[in-house]
Amino acid sequence: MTKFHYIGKPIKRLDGFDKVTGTAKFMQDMEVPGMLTGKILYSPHAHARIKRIITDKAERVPGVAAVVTHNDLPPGIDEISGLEPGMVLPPTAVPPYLFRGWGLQPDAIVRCMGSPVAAVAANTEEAATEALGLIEVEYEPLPAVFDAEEALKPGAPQLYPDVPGNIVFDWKQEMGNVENGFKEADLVFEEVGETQPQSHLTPDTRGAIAWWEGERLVICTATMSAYPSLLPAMAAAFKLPESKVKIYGPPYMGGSYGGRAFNEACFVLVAVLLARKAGRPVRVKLTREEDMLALTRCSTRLHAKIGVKRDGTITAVEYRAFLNPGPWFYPPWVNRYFTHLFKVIKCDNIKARATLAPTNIPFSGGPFRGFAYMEAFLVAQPILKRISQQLGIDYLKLLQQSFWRTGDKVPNGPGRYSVLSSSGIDEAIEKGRQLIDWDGPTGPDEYIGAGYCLPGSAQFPSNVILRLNRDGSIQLETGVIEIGAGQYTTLTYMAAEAIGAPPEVINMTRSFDTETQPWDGGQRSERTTYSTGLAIVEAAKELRQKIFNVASKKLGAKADELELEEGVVFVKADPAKKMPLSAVGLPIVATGAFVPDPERPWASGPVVSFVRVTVDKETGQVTPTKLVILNDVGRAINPPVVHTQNMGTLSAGIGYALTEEVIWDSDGRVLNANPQFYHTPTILDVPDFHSEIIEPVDQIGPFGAKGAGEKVLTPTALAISAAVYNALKTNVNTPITPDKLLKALRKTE
Amino acid sequence: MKQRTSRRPTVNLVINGNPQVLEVGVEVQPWHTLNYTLREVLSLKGTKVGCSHGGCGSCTVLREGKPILSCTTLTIECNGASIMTIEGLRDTSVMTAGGMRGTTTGNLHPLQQAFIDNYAFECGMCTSGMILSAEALLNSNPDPTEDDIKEALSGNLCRCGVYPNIVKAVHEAAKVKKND
Ligand code: FES
Ligand code: FES
Repeated sequence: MTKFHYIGKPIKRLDGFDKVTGTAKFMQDMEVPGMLTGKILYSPHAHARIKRIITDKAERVPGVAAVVTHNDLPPGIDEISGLEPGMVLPPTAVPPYLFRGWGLQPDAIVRCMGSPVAAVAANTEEAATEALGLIEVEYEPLPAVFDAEEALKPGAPQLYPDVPGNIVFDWKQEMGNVENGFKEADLVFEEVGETQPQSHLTPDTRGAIAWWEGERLVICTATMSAYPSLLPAMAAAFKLPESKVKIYGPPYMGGSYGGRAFNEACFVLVAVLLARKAGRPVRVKLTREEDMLALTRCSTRLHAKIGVKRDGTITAVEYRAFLNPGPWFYPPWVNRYFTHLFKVIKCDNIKARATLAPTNIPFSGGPFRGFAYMEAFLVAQPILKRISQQLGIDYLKLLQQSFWRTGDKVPNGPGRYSVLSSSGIDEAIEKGRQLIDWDGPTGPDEYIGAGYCLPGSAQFPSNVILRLNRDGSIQLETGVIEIGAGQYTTLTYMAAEAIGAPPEVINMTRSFDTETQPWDGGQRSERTTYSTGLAIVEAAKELRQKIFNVASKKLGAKADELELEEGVVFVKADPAKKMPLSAVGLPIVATGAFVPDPERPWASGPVVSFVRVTVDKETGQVTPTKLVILNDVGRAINPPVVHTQNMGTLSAGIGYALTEEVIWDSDGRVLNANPQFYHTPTILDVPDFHSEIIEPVDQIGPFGAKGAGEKVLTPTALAISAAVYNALKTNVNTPITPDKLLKALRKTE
Repeated sequence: MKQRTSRRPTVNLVINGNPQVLEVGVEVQPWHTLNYTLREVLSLKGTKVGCSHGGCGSCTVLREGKPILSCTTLTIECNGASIMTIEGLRDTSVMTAGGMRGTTTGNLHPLQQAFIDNYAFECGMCTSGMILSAEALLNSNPDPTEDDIKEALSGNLCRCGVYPNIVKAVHEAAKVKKND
């Protein structure tokens, strides 16, 4: 086994001091001299045409510097596509316009409650709020639709003139021969499942400060995809080269969980327009309610049909999905969803059809600790439960049929496959089976469940710059922001390991800055350790080479005879001949890049959750009592942080399974946009928990590392729902609240 | 302390041991929350704001040693009170030299050190509030059980969900404090 100097052991987090002392700066703490406060007016209708909007009175409020409406939008904004490199959509799809659906709309139609219709910038929050109240808007309410299947029916309210029948796309694909597959089956099982919209409830709400310096636009915001998404969007909106748009982040992001990926552009645009009109910096900071209305996890319905032989062999799988993202959709999400559908259940004959129909529910097409895993994995596993019960086959055995193993060609994008570089799934299942005591006794009203997920990973490029200073210290520059998962620590220590210099001399620049820091694909899809890590390894190679070139003269040896370890350059054959990095005496710059290559094997780690729950059949209450997570992360760079990620993500999984759901009334008005009415797990709700790291040898990622964090949510929620299935012998859609559970119980009795 | 000559009413606070006199109508309005005063007027940004509705606990500070939600407390209600924020917990008179940021010890409060040592945070937005709620607990109950800790922190949401590590950290800090 390779010996490492710095990684693979517990490392104290470099952001610890800032965070425990309250000196860490988040978006809410960012200020710019002379900035005004921006406030947004939202639509009270789920679907309406703005007939008239009068802002005179608002403009006259003392302290008000600017009022903007849809009339201030730059021309052509509705034609800007959000298609990212490497993304495939069906040819008949309506392009994934970035500024559609939520935010100021050039056609003056609001398509969900809580979509911005105007905004004010003023000296004080009080003045801005007063002005908002004086904006007169005359709406013509339009009929609204809140369900994707309903939206596809003839006569349903139409959302966009260029999207006839509300079909943004209708994607069909078949692998093998499903008809024959069903003929071979002894039994056919069907199930329908739904995923509910879940609010990210990021601890810090959305915010942005924007200003103009002549024709140069500057934006400060905490986004997880500055370079691939926000930068091109802003450049296109104002017809500027990307070099004239500077987007930088606060040093720390107050939680993301996928909630900082999509409609950032629509929301940041409001601040930018206000700043342009006011001629001063403007800060827009959403309140908790506003933030909860701005994006949730996608709402989906999936019909699944599975053909199976008596011995449990699956012969055919057919999916029919309806995706309801609210008024518009997040292109990469859809792409990933289709990919996952083909790998949830491993079978030679799979057919899938997914139709995306926009509706007037609150904006919901976002990722949430996983790019569409939950939405794809949700229904298949309850069907397997039923099959296992009916055929008397162990559930884990059935599940195991669908595991992807080392060397398998895994569906990875429509019509594309990637070779899985390694998989620790069998080890995970075996360990988990023991730790939860799968075959052991259960207490009264106690049930066991298991769930599994194989994530994807967003394949975006990363670039890294390493700069050696004359004193031997090193600057690590990436476009990465610390979102809480320990990125600063992990990347700094990986750089130390790859260079051969102590981590103490390395400083990683805090946050992204599109003007000064290199391009990075963003902190999403568990990609930072992997992609930015690979770029660091590349850059370190170049830096070492350049150091050796200089040192060879000083040490009187050839460059390839030198080694660098713990900050000391020495001659391999004669280690007494050595010099510290500071003796290099020359500033050196090196770069490294990771460019995704679909031909390369794919490093992705499966994750399994096991749970024991008690189900109180009197009150309908489900209580998890023990949870075991087994996470294949390739190599854990900082093991305690992987455990922390496991524990954190499982908490959101418990919330998803049992309590979390954004609900709205028949007019599309959200009823629980507040943490008091939207219940996420508290410290009292997290059970006894065991986290295991599975580390199969992997040759692909940096030091063998794969992604670690977000994938734990899905199997945890699935495990809980599987345990409840065992109790009720029927599927209950998440969140499994007491009322739903009791209703289902009454039906089965 | 600034000398005041005007006859406007004032709000007198002692914040982290430092007296503050705020003139009503100038530095503080009757509708200002303590959270607003701390963050926007006094620039003490270590106190966070998560919901402004008493629903998350990230704005927790100590008033006379007891945890309160600064977002639902008016500043004028606090006249005469002594307030402790996260900035007041660390002993800044002790300077420790050397070491990396994040591993520096010495002047950190035992809870702060225990939160670092036990990985009791991810994004860090709930951390100030968690630590202050825990400090209030340890002051009134130096030897808390796991249930005591959970009870005391049940109003502080951690959306990153690192609750088990937070419980461990508070236990450890309790031990350190007792041995001090
Ligand atoms: S901000 Fe005070 S409780 Fe949430
Ligand atoms: S660490 Fe992010 S909310 Fe607790």
